[in-house]
Amino acid sequence: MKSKLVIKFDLNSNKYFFGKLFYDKLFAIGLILPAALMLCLTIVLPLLEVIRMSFHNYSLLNMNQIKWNNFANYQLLFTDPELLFAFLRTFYYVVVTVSLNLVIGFTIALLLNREIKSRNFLRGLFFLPWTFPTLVAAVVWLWIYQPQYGIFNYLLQTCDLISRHVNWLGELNTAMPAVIVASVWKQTPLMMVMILAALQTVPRDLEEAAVIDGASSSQRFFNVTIPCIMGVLKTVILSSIITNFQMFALFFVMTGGGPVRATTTLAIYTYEAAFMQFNLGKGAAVGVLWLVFLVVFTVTYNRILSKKEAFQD
Amino acid sequence: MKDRSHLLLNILLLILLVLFLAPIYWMILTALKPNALLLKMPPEWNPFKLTLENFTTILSDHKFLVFYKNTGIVAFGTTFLSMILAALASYSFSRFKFRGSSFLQLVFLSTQMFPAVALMIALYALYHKLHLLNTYTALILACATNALPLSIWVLKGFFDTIPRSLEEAASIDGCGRIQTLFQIILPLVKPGILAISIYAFLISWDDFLWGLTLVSKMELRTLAPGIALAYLGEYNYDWAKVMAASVVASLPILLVFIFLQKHMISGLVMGAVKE
Repeated sequence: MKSKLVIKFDLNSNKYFFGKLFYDKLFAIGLILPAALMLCLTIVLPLLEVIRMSFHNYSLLNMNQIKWNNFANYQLLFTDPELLFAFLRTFYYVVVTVSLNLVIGFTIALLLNREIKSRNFLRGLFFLPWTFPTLVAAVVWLWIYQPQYGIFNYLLQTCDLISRHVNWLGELNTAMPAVIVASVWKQTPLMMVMILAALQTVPRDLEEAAVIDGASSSQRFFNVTIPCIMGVLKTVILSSIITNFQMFALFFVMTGGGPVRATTTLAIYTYEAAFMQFNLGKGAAVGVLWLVFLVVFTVTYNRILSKKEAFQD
Repeated sequence: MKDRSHLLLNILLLILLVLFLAPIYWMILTALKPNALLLKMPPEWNPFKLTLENFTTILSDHKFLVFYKNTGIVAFGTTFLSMILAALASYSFSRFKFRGSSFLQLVFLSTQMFPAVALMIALYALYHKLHLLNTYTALILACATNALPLSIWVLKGFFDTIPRSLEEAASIDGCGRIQTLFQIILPLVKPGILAISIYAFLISWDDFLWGLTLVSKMELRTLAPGIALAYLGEYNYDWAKVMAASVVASLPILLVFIFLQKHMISGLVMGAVKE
């Protein structure tokens, strides 16, 4: 259907030197060109540049003098145990945050997908946290967690759950979970809205047919609802993983990577290397490793999930 | 029995709602408190003792107004740029089939997955060479790059719903290609244009990383890094002032949300739910 239009145009004119088809193509490419040029400048060039930089001695303080340094940046990274820890922390943060986003978002979406009055109004209220900028989310939770005057400690103490002021963002065991709570608060609404939209595309007659066939509600959920929205789930989970993998603002504002290094994720680690140790080469090397990992991960993710889907069909 | 489970589920929904809205309530309440009540324990809940003083302080703070102006410039610039580029490119992807077109679409969409932090260092070096550091252009380009891939994808979906016969008719009537696009087709995808504009606006208003790294001059700071660097010192934060700044900084998006909720959500949802 798509290619027909071009041919039709081609038939009704001979006044062009190369034929209308050629001009159509030229027009089509001309329309894409501005977007392509911008992405070249902001994605493709930096991509090549980050690879080049990772092999050079590249200091923020002297950006005009760069030297090939025989993989020294990579050697530095592979002998630094902190890189592995940063990676594991990122992994922990991503897995917990995305799982909680999914479970809570799914729960709210299911609750809103029942026969319920004012569904759109409630959806709007639940969506509200997402509309606040990430920085504002970070600042609000910083205030909530404030050790002496924070409302969080006050409420927990009133309920007798804790006996002393806890410095949630300042203690090794609680810093990461505290950041996770803030990010779940901010991100779950988006997940919920996506899943709710997907749930509403599940055909009614399929569900009714399952009821008539005597399926229990859990059977209906796993054999009708989930397969119907699998495509959307796959997309929202992947995009949530990618967003959180590069989460920077929450950590930078709430903990700055501390206490000690308890919340130094890859994003913070890269930023520190480049802009606090002034070693752009090292930062670039982290970036390259990170890109390699993401590409491998995305390909595997799509492979595994598309196999699963084929199996279900 | 059914009624009872329905009631229980409604109670669960209500509890979740309270948990999600409580931080927002606490932020606004704090922003409205006079300094004397701010650190009182147990907290002061009495709304009759509230004041707008923090808002007047923040709105007469020159620094804050500069941040606000900069964010506005960057957000509108980003929205405009990504809207134009996305409209042209997605129209082409929707209407013309040429070799490599679907591959190119895939490449465009996948650029969204590259981690900004990983590319940031190279972008910084590149902008340094091009003398783009400390300019609005740098921020607008970086934010538009974040918004563009999904915008093209979503808008293409809108173009796909417009029948091709319209263009054929226009062509027979002697309407040129560009004229057809701008005067006949674009007005028909207004909801799509609105949805991607809101999306781009949100992305640039939310930006923290680019504003922090690509700009170092105080006159060019945007809100997010500005608030973090100017009002969050080591100790002794003025929390009421910080909360007031946060509320005011969130206001444009809240307004967009209140008045254009349908378009905002449709833009966000379409990227995932289409397929």
